[in-house]
Amino acid sequence: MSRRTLLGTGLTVATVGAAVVAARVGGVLDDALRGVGVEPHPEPDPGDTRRLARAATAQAVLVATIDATIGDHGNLESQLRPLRVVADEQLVAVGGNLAATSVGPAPADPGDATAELSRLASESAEAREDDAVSAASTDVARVLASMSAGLSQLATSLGLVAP
Amino acid sequence: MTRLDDLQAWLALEHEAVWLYGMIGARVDGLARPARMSYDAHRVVRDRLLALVDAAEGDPVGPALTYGHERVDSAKEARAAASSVEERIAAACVALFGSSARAERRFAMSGLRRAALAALDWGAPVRAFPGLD
Repeated sequence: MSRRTLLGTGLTVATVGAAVVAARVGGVLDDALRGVGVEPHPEPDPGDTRRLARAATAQAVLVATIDATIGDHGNLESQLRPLRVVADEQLVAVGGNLAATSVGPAPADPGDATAELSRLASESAEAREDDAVSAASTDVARVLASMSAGLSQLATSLGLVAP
Repeated sequence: MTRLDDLQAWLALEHEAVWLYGMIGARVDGLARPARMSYDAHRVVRDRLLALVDAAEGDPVGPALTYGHERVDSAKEARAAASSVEERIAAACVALFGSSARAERRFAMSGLRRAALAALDWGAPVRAFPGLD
């Protein structure tokens, strides 16, 4: 499968992720799927809906915690900002946002603050792997697996941020 | 693409990685140790894939005569080539992840995570979706 095709798959599922969340309220899932060019299944797997929702929730916490850390430790901003961009890309792709997410202040020690970010990313990487392995949809499985690997890269990079 | 096709695609890249890291270790001063570690790691994965392809009654793809890395003489060129092969392995693992039964997805995931982190070590940027972007 070409890189371009894979990218297309990711974007499609990302959009589907947002659509699935919306459809839980509006009951318009099939129309949403057709709108992004995906033939709807008779019954979307409810487990996959929950897997994407969990990914969105955890990712919102990670992005919000990065924001809090930048707010409390301005000297880390230049190192954290590029990683925040990547984390936000993941958040948007799984249909999440920061609207309903609030986190506490970052630890006072900058080293502790970046260690906490790394821990959050690492935990999320493990959770996304578990959800990818059990996903019913091939596309959801691929996107969550790739996201898990990206979160591992983030955890490593966050752990290297120097106060 | 079938599961066997995806296994073969990954195996072909492992052959390339073994070849590349052997060359980096021999030709690039200062990278012999990490190249050796990568070489050893990829040989293990290659052998596991050979067994999986064989078990699937496939004819395992063999190594190519060359991979177009003849100009890898500097550390910069070596890092770029290593990052490239690791990112392509990540993409192969993502493909296999989708075509595999759940029991084999853990194996694909371990390859994907290892490749993503190796790419980072060799100088690739952090990516939101390794293997997909």
